[in-house]
Amino acid sequence: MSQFWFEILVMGAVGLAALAPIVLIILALIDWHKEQLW
Amino acid sequence: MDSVAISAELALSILVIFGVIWIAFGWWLGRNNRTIDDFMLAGRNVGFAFASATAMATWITSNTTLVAPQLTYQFGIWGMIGYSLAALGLILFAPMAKRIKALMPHGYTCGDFIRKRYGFGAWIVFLIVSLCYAFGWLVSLGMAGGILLSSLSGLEYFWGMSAILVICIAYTLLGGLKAVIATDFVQTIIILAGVVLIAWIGISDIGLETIYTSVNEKSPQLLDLLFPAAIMFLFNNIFFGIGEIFHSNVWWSRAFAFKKDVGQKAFLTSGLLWLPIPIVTGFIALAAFSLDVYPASADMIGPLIAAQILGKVGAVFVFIVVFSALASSLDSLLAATSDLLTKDIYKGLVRKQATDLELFRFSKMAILIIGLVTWVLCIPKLTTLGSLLNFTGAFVASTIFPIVFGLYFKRLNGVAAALAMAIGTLCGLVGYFTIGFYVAALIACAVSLIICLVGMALVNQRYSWQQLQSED
Amino acid sequence: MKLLQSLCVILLLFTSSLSKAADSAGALMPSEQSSSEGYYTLRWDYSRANFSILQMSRDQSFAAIEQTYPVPSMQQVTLSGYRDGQYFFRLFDEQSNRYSNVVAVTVQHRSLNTAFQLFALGLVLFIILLSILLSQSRRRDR
Repeated sequence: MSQFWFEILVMGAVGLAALAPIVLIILALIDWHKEQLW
Repeated sequence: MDSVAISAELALSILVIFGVIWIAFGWWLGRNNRTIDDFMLAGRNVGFAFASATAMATWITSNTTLVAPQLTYQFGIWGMIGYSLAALGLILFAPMAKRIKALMPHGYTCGDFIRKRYGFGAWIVFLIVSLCYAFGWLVSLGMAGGILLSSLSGLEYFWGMSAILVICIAYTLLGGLKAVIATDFVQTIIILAGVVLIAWIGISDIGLETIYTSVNEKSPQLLDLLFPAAIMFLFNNIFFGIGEIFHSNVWWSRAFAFKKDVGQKAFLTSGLLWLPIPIVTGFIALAAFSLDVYPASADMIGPLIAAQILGKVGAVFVFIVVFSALASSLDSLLAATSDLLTKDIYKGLVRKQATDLELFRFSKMAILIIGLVTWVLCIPKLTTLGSLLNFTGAFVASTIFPIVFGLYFKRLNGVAAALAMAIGTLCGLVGYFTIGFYVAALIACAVSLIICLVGMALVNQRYSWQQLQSED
Repeated sequence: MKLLQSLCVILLLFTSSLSKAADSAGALMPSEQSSSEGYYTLRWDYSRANFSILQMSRDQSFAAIEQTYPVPSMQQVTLSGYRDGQYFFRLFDEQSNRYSNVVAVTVQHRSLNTAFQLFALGLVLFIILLSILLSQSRRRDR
């Protein structure tokens, strides 16, 4: 694997992983607002 | 690892603080649990956000934080990509979760399904597979906790392992699945923030270019996409992951517990969010070559590099992240295995007329029993027991097709399903010992598919789906 | 199996630390091993000398040292990512300027053909599974 693709792979993964908690918190806020957490 | 990064006192304080928070949280969530449905299945009404987070957190185990770097160190690029494709287990389970909820709106465990769909024989084979796997996983989690705490903090193995088990047992006992799911949400956020932070510091301190160059110079095979053993490992790991999820009550109980129409969306979301995590936790193993730090054994590479990059502060982070990862899986597994003991062993075999109240009481006792057995098995610290989990690849992968065919086709009968699981497992184990751990699941899955197909060609059972909703 | 192996290793370490014969050579173990995955573990007895560097060469005489790995206060190390070939290792003690014995590791990766066959098997199984799940869930939705 070339360095270019290696960097894309790792940076892409780190970026997506950084998005994940934000997505989860937004989803929880929406559920909470609609009173549908449980 | 010889170097102790944080003091035993600090480690103990972190454990106590988190322990008190989780247990109090568990008590608060469980205060309104009145029925067995509340306790075992969180009232069958879990919403989308919690559902996604709990599926994701449970699938991020200590393995994701420890084994992903190990596999990257051993198999390079394919190691981390292969591990991240274990997310396919969650993604493919999405449509099944919907089907399960539709077929058995009042079901409790995967054992329920196998018994009603395939009868007694297949049910026994399935229970053996399922319990072997559950205990293998429980013991590996308990031991990973103890070993990691001792290597990071000098806290003795016995105390670290015991503390983690006691905390998880306590809040699961107090709050049931509600506590498991709510703590999972918080733990997911902690884990994700932690791994991203560690990866980011690694990247900015060392640089991806340096990492790439030194791997290329010292261990070029790791960057080679035509790496035979790693190519073999790829699909094996995918089927191992699929087998783990498809058969285990950890995931079935979630399918039952999630609100109607939430299951499919939630499993799909959690799978997609999970996908990058093993790459984030895995790639830092490759920093070994630029840091010139090499592990005594491959399984310690993750914490070794993290502590090297981050020093003492990093060790605290690693400690909290791994503790959260451990707890989020351990609690789920405790709850799901207790359901299996309660509904399948106790009600199914011991006391068939047990009332709901009796089951409610027994399920709490079951959590204690399972916790105690796990604790006893963890005490001798036999690392070979931990590698048992690897071994179960053959077991779980042999259940994939019997379960899928059972959920969607009326044709497959119990004898064929039982044979598929038993013979599939045996062939997988032969592969494990003759070729290597990286083919066991693949072989088991292939053999069980063939047996299922032959079974369906020979006999048409014409199963009626209504039987799944009948009372015992 | 693994338990038995590790018991043997412990027993071996124990008996070798008792015998005087092992005093000079035989520190680095095992003397020969082969790997079909490119990773392997080397062990040594740290108590006998203060070895801090592991050296790798492609020839037994160590005419050219190709890699050096710092291994301070360790008793074993796991290396990975090696390509096909034979590699020789020895430990070096900087303080007393002493070398350990030389051990050989032969790396012979599995054949790409077998790997691709298993890959193809996995792919076929995966496509079968995926098509069942997709077609069936679409049918049930209707």
